[in-house]
Amino acid sequence: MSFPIFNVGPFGPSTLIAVMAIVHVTIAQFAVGAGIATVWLETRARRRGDSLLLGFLKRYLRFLILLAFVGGVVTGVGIWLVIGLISPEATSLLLRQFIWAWAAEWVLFLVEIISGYVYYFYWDRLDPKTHIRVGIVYAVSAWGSLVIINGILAFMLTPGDWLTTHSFWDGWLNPTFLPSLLLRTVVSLALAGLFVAVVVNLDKHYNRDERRHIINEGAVFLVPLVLAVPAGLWYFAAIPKAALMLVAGGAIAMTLFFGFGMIATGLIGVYAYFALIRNKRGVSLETALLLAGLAFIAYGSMEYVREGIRKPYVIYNYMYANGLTHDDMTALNASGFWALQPVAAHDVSPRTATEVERGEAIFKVQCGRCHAVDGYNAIRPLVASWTPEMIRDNTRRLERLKPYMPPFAGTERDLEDLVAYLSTFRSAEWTRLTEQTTNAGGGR
Amino acid sequence: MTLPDPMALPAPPELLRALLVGTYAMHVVALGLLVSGLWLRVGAEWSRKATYKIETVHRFGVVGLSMVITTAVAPLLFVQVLYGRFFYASSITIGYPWLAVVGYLMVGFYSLYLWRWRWDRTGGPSAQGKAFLILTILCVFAVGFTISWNHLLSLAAAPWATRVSHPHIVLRLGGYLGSILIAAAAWLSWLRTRLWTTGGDRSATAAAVVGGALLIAWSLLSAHADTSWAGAGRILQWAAAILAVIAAATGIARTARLSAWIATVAAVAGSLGMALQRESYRLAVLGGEYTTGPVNAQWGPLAMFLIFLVAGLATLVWIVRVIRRPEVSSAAPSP
Repeated sequence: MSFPIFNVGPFGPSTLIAVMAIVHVTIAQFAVGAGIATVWLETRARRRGDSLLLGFLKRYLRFLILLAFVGGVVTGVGIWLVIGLISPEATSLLLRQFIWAWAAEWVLFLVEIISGYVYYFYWDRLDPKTHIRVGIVYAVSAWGSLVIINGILAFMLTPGDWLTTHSFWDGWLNPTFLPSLLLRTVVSLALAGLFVAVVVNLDKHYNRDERRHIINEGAVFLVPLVLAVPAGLWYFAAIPKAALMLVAGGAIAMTLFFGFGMIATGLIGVYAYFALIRNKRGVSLETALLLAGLAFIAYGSMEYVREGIRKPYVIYNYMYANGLTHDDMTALNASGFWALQPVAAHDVSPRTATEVERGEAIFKVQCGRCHAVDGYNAIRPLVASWTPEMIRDNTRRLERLKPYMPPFAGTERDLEDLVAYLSTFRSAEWTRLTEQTTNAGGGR
Repeated sequence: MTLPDPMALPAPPELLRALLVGTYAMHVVALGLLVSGLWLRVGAEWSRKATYKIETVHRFGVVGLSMVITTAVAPLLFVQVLYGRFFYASSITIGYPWLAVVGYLMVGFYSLYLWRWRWDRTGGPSAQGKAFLILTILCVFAVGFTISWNHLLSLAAAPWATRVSHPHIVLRLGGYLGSILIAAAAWLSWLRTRLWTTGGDRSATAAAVVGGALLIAWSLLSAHADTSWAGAGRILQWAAAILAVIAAATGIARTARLSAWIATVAAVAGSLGMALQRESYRLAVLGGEYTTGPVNAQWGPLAMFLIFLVAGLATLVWIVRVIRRPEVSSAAPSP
């Protein structure tokens, strides 16, 4: 309640975060896998004198530089900006709790960028041994970044003992740290392998046999995908039971996206095994792009699920999605909304404002992080046909009716203010239509 | 503003502030690298007297922008830890224009690549190349302006206040540009010692003179609260300005290596001075509004960071040594 609320507009805050996060994480994971893949393949190619593969790797690195060092880096900054706008309380907590992890990650990021450029720009200008060493520096620093960020991301769903100790190490090395790291590493390698097929097909100067040779060299990075199964089981065994229930039907969007992710991953795995690993076939540009698209769907869906099953929390069992902690909720219930002087409602005077104006301020603070008035996940159509009694009843038991929503916090008067505001969204047209339907069905 | 930040400060505020100033100074030096790259590109596009390799110019621009973004991350971290309450409030008040920074960076970055692509296709200057270059420069200015806007708004007494047009913004940008130009002069001076095909280029000299003049004007015109940090910052900036002029003079006298060293010292002093002035200004303006709150120092994780820092710096030194060795061949790929 210490911050204003960012009015996202019709897109909805979660859409903004999801788009930026999924694009960034996919590119960043590709950069991690591509670093490992390039060094591995360069070592192999130099040992065997495979000039075809060496020539391709230079082009592959160019693709990596153009995609990851521009799009990946800029969307990385974008994530910071977006989460600071939408969830400043959680961002502040993550920064203060893990500042030295972020700072260490920044050092790795600096090394990653500089070594990446040297690895690329000095491809033909360093002796092979030194060049491979620079590549190893790049690969290790990129993966090291992943290790650090993974701990912080996993913390948000499974803070573990941190809830009682508030210790850096308890938070960072939390219950899903290892399975999540294994999953992300496997995905990074798979993305690197799939993009070998895309890049080689985008370059028209390779013939069919050359393309097949390069694709089969890259396909080795799809083999670890088999580890995704035990890693996934390990991960789901470690997450809170309530979060697991959201995937298993508790929140239909989570169940659907989880399904998309599983199907897309399965399809990639089956294709990789039969076409690329077992039969050593080539892949056309269209198929390569389709596989990359499937990977994006698979990964994006799983990231969406990971973010979604945290609800109603942003930091599990500590801070709700609207930025209120358990302590804040207790204070709100005891003293009321206005006693805490919320910044977002600084221009509303509780003494002179109307019930509806006070309710609007409460809506902004407690609901505005997820719900717009109109647009994505809008409140207007949700309550358009509800009577004030229904709104009151639902709001009072929100967390029981919808387990992915935070409870309402405040006094009875605050609740009445919110009901008054939400009742202004009642639509005569909606009410008429629902009454018609009810009458046609026998007026239950 | 009744609820405190959820967690205590993870280190003594003086340490966090020193890291903020140090990393911000690094960011200013990186901005100098970017500006020097853009400066050379402007020369390549508009002047027929350019005597440097286009490959070098290209790398300066691309690597410069990467370094600007990378070095911006650390001060962005420390500023949020120290001044999160103000920083988030001003960011939210600006809203979408603040997010537009992502778009400016993306467009500016890819324009740099498009400029190179156009140059390679036409074999020299072209109307499209000029357009891409202007687009990049505009994007860089848009980012700088938005960040300054946010910074100044975060200093408003009431952080949720409506948008303000701060009277110091032009002055502030002038001082900022002075420090950046001196850093650019240092990069250009080193380039002159190693890669210029002839010694006649005046870019480094011009950047040093203009940067020095801007810094002197900034110091004379700005009326900052006289805290000890501001005093130190002011002294450093005067030193930077004087050294920049000396670097320019030695550059004109064709003692390129000496000029480069002097310009480097000027760049470090100017960047540190800029960062110190900025920080002291922030503290003076926020005054009683700002309290650091409780401190719960995380010494173990801090040690981990220091280990990473030392290892990282050692690795970077090794990389610099590696690329200074004799080359195998000069056929480097171009993106």
